[in-house]
Amino acid sequence: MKSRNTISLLSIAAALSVAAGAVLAVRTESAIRSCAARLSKLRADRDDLRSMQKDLDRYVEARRLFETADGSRAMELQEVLSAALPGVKVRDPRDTYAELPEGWVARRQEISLSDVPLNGVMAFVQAAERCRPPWRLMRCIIRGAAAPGTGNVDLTFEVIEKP
Amino acid sequence: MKWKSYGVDDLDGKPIVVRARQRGGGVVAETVAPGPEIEDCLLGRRGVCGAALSPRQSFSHLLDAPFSGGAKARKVLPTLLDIQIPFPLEECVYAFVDKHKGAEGSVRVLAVGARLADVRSRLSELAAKKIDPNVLDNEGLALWTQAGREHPNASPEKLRVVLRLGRRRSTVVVGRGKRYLGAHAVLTDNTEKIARLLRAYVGKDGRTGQIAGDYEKMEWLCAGAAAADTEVLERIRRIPAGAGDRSLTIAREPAAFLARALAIRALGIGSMRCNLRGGGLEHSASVRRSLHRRMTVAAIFVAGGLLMCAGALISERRLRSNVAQAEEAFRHEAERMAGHDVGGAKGEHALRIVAARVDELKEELRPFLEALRPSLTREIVDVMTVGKSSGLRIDVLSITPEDISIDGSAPSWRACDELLRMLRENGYAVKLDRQGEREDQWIPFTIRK
Repeated sequence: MKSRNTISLLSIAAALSVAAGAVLAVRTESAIRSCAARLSKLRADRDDLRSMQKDLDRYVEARRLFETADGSRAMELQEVLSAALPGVKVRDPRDTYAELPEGWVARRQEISLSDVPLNGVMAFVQAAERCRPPWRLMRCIIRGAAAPGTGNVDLTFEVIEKP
Repeated sequence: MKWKSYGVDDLDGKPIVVRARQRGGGVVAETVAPGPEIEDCLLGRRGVCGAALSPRQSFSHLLDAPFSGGAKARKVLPTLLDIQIPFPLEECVYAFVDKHKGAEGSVRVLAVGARLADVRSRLSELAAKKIDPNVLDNEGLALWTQAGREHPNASPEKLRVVLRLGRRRSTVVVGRGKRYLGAHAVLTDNTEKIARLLRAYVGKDGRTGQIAGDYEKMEWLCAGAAAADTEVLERIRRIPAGAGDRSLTIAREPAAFLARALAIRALGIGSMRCNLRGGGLEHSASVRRSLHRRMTVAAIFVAGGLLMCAGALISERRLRSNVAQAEEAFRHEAERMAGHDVGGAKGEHALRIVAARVDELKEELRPFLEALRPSLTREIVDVMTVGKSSGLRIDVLSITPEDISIDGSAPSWRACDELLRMLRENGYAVKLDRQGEREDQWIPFTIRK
């Protein structure tokens, strides 16, 4: 009789535990689905973050190159011009400044040259761009002059320096 | 499958006991003397003990179920058996032990059984001899299967007669080939009845139950305590059964033949096994074993259910923990990039905060990146070179990294084509505007984005 009671109790316990197991299994299955979807979304979001980071790294790397470069003060354009086109003077240089992070400044200088040989102008621009830190030509307007191979030139340069 | 069993033949007075054991993939059966050392075994407390119900106390019927499908046939078998027996089926314990194809797509099934009253009475008989068997077998089937085991080369065309010859009572089992046909209890002296019984089987086909013609040969196998008695054997030889010759063989250790059969069948070996100790008369050890088995199964299910619960809970917890870790990692990365606590922001919201901060940083650092851009001098030189080679007069050239415009004049309508192609290849999406030809035949043009 005792054994039969035990069997009855065990059978009930078995039925209950199997039923509970089945219910929990179904619930877990749905939890697995929702967690898988959540993880997949998180993975996509992290991929987006990494993509943004990679993009930003290009900018940070560019600044790092400036940090590690020799010299932080740019050579004056007049000096470069005198070497490339002796006797030619910069007419009305106009400087503008923009502050950059960590003490860096973007200096923009617009210069105009009249009746200058165009080959010499290109040599001057290339010399300016070879300076450390380099001047970078941002805008160039060339108007033809009376003599062949010459012109009136408006140039806008920009340099990043740490004054 | 059991490992050790005992078969008891008490039908001829003093019990004969055989012990059967599994050994090396085979079975070893040996006669043992009854005594105190095997008392527990005969009471079914150690190993399995098997005894027999004689054909006098039991019945066997071949049933023809008119279905070829096993499941359907199984459903109607109790009803078919009920029709065949002269007492209510509810008062019987029965089993269907052999199934084969019958005539015209029917299923032929061998049913064996006994009235509960006979089972009870047989158990009392055995109890008086201090025997309490776990298995109460059908004697006819036990003799038949043992004959097949010890003398397997039965001809499918011959009637096989297995005779267990007791001092007073005997059992006649008849079959054809491997098919069991029936068993009968007879008085050993009543040879006429034996002859009459056998004549009823002559010509009867074991498969279909139909008369298939006369058969000339029979195989007789004699066993039992009286099989060693020459006088009894001589009487048996003189039985005028059937229509022709017979070959008569005496079984090895004939007195222990039935006990051997019962012991081997109690081990769970062989076909057409049955236990007619049922209907509430089961052996206490069998009941205990059955209860134990049920308890084990129930316990396995409990354990299985609990394992399922634990597995489900642990899996869910681990999953949620993985998600929480991934969310935390994302939040850390977002905060590192944003440079400040993003609060409770998640997903798209957090991405928007980070993107705003990244755009801000990119804007601050843009001059550094632009300063590393390729020089504009190459484009200026290219324009000048191509302009010169195409014979163009360039009045104004204005160029920035993003834009270009050229005003000038060309000597012909197609003189600007080369310059246009070069600019487009360099990434400037420009178009050409031309005016009418001037008096000096030069054509003014403008190239702009």
